[in-house]
Amino acid sequence: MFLFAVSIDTDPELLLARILDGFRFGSGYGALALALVMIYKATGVLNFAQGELALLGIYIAWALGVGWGWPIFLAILVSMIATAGLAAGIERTVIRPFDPSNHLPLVIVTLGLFLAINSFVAVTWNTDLKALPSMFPPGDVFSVGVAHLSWSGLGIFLSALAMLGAVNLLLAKTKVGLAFRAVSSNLESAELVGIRVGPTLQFGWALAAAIGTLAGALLVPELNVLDPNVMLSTLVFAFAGAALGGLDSPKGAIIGGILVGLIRSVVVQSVSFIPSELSVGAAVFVILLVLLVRPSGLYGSSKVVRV
Amino acid sequence: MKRSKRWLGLTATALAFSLVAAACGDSGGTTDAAGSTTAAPTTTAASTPTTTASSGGTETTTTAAPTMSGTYDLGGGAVLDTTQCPSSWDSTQGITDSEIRIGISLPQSGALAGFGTIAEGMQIFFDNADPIDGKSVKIIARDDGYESGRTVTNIGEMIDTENIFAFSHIIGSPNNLAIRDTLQEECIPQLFNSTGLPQWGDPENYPWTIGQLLNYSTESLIWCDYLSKELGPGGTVAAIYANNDFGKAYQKFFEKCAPEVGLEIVGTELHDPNADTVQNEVTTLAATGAQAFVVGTSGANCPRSVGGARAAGWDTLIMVSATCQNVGLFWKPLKGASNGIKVITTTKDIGDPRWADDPWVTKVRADLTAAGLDPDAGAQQTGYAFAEQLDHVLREAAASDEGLNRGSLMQATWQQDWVAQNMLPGSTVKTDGANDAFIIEAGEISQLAWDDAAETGTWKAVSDLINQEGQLGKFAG
Repeated sequence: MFLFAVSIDTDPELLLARILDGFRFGSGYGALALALVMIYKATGVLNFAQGELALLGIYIAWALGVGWGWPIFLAILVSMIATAGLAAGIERTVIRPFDPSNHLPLVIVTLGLFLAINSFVAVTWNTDLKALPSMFPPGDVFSVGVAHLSWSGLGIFLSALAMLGAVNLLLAKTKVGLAFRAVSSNLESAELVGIRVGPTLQFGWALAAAIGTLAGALLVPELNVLDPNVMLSTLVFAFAGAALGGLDSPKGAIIGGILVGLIRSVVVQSVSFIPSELSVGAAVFVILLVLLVRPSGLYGSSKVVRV
Repeated sequence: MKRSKRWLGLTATALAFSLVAAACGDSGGTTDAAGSTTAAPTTTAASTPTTTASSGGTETTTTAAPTMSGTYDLGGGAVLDTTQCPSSWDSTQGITDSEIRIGISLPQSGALAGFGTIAEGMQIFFDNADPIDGKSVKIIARDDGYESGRTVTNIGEMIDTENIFAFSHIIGSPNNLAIRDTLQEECIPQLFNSTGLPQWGDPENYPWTIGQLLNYSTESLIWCDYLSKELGPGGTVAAIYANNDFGKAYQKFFEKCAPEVGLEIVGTELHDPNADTVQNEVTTLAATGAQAFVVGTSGANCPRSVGGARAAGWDTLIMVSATCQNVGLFWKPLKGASNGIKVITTTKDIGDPRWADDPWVTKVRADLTAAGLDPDAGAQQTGYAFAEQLDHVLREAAASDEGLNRGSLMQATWQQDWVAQNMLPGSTVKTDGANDAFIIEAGEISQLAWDDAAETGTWKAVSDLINQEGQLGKFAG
């Protein structure tokens, strides 16, 4: 009887529209997941303040771009640099004093940062709804019925891929990238071969903050409004994307984010017995499923320990 | 060798965080209003003068005003019986030598944080008003993030520590429902709930509680009436509602009246009030090609719904909840994309040139500007308008034979007949207990005209005033 209650929308235009929606938002989730992965790779800690660091960056970009009238590209670039500097300072002052192998205090510190940054943003810029201008031109690349590929949708997708390429290049081809990989791989050994672990981790935090700010600046215009709550509701999907892709895989973050976007737009909307109001629940379900079936995600490395 | 459990632990942490985030809050509604009273005091005053020992709060002095107890005829057979109140109850609790202390719980964080400055607007009104019985009105606000559990906590704390006389304009349907029984038992006024649930018009069972906004049942009826005329027989409508008491009230009433006027509902979506976007739901609705799109949600989800329709290229008549009326708060982010949407307005839009010379609008703008605010931004203007209603009943109760106390306040509230300055011309504020249990019963359909040059929009009336004053009766269950 249950099976008879299941129906799936088959309208091709609607399906295409949902796929495009999935890519549009999923690319943004993936980009934010990339920032989570950078911190995780370096420290083994999930940074709960990642979304709020991005939020701060977005508000700085808004203040510069809308308040002061700067070109939005420049405003976002400056806000990326500002949040990177702030994250480096945070790492030095409230993260580094803790034992990096003991994750629980670090997680609690990031939760504290989450609340502190969110409150700071709300007090500084108040809670009125605002709008961050998009970096991309308005209008569509093409449209078929209800399916629209907007320039911003295409722009977010390509930007996410570009961010992934840049991160991979940085890690593979630069000295600091090599040091970062060494620290990620084995902190103690890296230290023994002379790598300055502290500054390397600091670099990881700064890089992640800049990536997160750019991810937020890409995504928020698609969400129509900017308020101090926006990154909290987005971070859940980024976490799901990171978990799905593999918490230490940059490629997995982008792919996982897009898959979460597609699950939300295509699966939740198309299958009749899944209530559409369960979109946040779908993200939680993805995390749960990954946890149970494949804890290392699609592209993450399975860690082994000597016993 | 064994697989590390680190993945498991961290993923479990992420899961826990996600669950917390998913569980945070609801969405709901708010907006305009006003109203108040002409007292017809009919009190059996079995007065037992007692001096109150007011607790906590910033001021703890109390007056020696007599505590009245007895029954109050609210009209239509509804009676307020204060003899059933707790033995420690004091009808003048919260009235100090210098202040009348009013509590409000509202979202200053979360998805509906935009409404958070309503309390500030109310205080600005009272700061610019004459004293009542030589006392100023003090608004004590607490943030509940639109989570009803936190509203319950806030109310409890304020009762215990803030020496509250009455609560007013608490925002949100689930939030007000969560505290109604407690305030009923404690005999503390819960005035002018900033939500349109018809349940607030039930003085026979809940004499201590009244709503203020155009109720969602009436709003839905006006939508049905207007859309059936605009679209003609067989007109198609798709609707999105917040998945909570607020949104489901719209759903219930709209789905009842639409078929009765020949409208066909071709799509319905409920959305998670705390999700970051409603695009997926709106895309599904856009695919129906419905001729009209009803938006039964509030807060940030108003512009998200309309923005979603525009992104899907859905050229349709959009009717949004009256809780989304505030242009500066909700439609400024969308700019021109909000052009042409429709809403039922019940109050004067202070940005509308139509009211440029209106004494009320002039005063609102002047007082907000003097407080260092942009009158066209934020929700302070809404709070300012809300306060006119509260101010009126406080004065009416203060002018009654027994003076201001909780009983006379409720009687003044349920026996109103006056014209509020913030409401549209032709509207009246009338209540008569169970005969007429709703305050705002008139509105006009307005269309948003966005001005790119001025970067603001104004509501332009596209219908005459639809006045249902006195026709709505009471909550029918």
